Amino acid sequence: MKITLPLRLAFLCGLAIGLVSCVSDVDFDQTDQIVFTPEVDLDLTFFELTTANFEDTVSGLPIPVVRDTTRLEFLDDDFIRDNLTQIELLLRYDNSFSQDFEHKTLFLDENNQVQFEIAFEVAAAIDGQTETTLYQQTIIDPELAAIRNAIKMLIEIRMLPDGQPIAGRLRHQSKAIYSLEVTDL
Amino acid sequence: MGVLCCTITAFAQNKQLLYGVNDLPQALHLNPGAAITFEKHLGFPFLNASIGAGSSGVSVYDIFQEGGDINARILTALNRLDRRDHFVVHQQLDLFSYGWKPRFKEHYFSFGVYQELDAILYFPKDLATLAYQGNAGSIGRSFGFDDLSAAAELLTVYHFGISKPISEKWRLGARFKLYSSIFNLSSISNKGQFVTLETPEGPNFYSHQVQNAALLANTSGVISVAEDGASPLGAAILSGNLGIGVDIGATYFYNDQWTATASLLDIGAIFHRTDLRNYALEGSYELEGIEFLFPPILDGAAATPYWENLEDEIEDQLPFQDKLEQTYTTWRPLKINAGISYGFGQNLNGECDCTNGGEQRYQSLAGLQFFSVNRPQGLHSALTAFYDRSWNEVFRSKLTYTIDPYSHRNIGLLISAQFNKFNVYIAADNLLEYPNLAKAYAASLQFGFQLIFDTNQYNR
Repeated sequence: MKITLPLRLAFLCGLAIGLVSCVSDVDFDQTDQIVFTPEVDLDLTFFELTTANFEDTVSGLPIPVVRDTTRLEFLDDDFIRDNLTQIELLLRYDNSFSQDFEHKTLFLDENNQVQFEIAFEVAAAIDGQTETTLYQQTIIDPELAAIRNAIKMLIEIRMLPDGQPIAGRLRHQSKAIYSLEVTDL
Repeated sequence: MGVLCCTITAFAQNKQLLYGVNDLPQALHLNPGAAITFEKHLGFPFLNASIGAGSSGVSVYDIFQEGGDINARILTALNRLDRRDHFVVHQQLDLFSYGWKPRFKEHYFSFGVYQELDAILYFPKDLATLAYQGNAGSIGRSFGFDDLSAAAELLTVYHFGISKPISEKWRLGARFKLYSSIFNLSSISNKGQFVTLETPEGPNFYSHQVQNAALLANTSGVISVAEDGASPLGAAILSGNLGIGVDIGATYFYNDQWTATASLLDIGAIFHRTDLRNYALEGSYELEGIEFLFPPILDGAAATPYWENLEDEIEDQLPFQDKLEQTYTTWRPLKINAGISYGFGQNLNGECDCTNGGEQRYQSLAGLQFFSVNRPQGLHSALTAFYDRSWNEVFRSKLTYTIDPYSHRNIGLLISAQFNKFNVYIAADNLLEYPNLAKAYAASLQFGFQLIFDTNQYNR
């Protein structure tokens, strides 16, 4: 049987289709430019303080300052340390005490050295109506670097006496939006 | 009278170009009841293999094209892809095959060994979105864990098949398979969700909830290699994770011109009993932040371990287990083929005489084929129109147009050449994408070299 030239060529073309193909117009070096920028919105702390927190149950004397501390182990996580670019804090107080309060958040290192501090005043209730105080702060470097050095967070609430009876509720809520920039894929 | 077969194949699961090409032994793997036109074949181990791959929603070019902003393209792809989009890799390597038709019999027996790799990863839309964008812009949105679905297996398959005409109209076939799993990963039934809800009446701004999480990943054949450094070679020959299965197929000759075919492939399962490792996470958890209790300040009193308590709570309510060794069963991806063809043109068997039984073997065939494979999230189907032409005693070609999850412009071409006893074929689909495979959503290639004898029979 005669194998014609066109058929031979067709067969060779067929082989070529399979064996000669290419990948073009792409640039895989762009992987270096890939940036993931997730924003994680998380609750942070909450509490509610009442009259009992500001009066000694035994002596009945006022307690001007209360404080509590937690570790924040995620600040020591390599992924967080490498990729965290911003923290947007939102703190809220609903205060039915007639007294103002001073709020402090201290970020401490292992040796309890203050690395970063947030302080603001919490407004007193007016005419018995609960007063809401919102505090917002965006933290970027270099302040963020200070927080990265911390591992603990202390909250201190100081009552500012006004001569009125100590009675009411102080409700605290807080959250933070953590902005990450992940480039090391 | 023998056939020397050396075949290298690389393809996605749908082998529309080889289906129904009855003068190639590979047709028997796609339909054990194929009306083959040869009387014996023999295959040897071969030297190389390659893979076919598919992506139903995004191509390499879509992401990595030159110029522009790659992050914008990733975001576009993220928004476009959905949880049914998937990435598939499939590879098959014939290690040995032999087949023969006993003298004066109509049966055709065949047996052999092949190695197969099959992997599928569904795009975990919700979790990818959560990882890429975070939850800040998605308060109130549920991120489902059921998007997480993946399966991968590497196995050796021993098979024996028989094909037999049972009447003038029907030819039936079956292939029995012993599966020896080398490696398996299966995580296809995950449940639960993560959601962040605003809670105006709650103790804090939000309630972060993991609801009814039930995540499970099963593996076999991994630990002995990864942790103990064992060689997978033994498992490649015969592992402790065996399975059985069967292929069945049929050809129906409606008349001299119209033929219908169908097959069910890999009706079977693998029972994973050794070298196991399962990973599981179950439970529900709600987080509203850390509640400060402001205990009275006492000298020497330890601070409340809020963070440790939080970690303990999470571990208690969302326990993660990574040392389980539970047996499990995986079903092989069942494949369905069906086809109808119409023969026309010259009768390649020549004019009717006493040597060819009056059978017609048309120069041209045209028809439709249907393919479907059962995947973890449902069937993946394809419809193919084809034109198959035998140019002479040497050359045969088949042109296909296929609509499938990967493309609506899938043109494929098979060219087979029979030089005396030696046969070589090449088949590739998505040819329009071959000039730049980066733009292809799928690509598969099949080619082989084999010696085939007695190819002029038309076996009903």
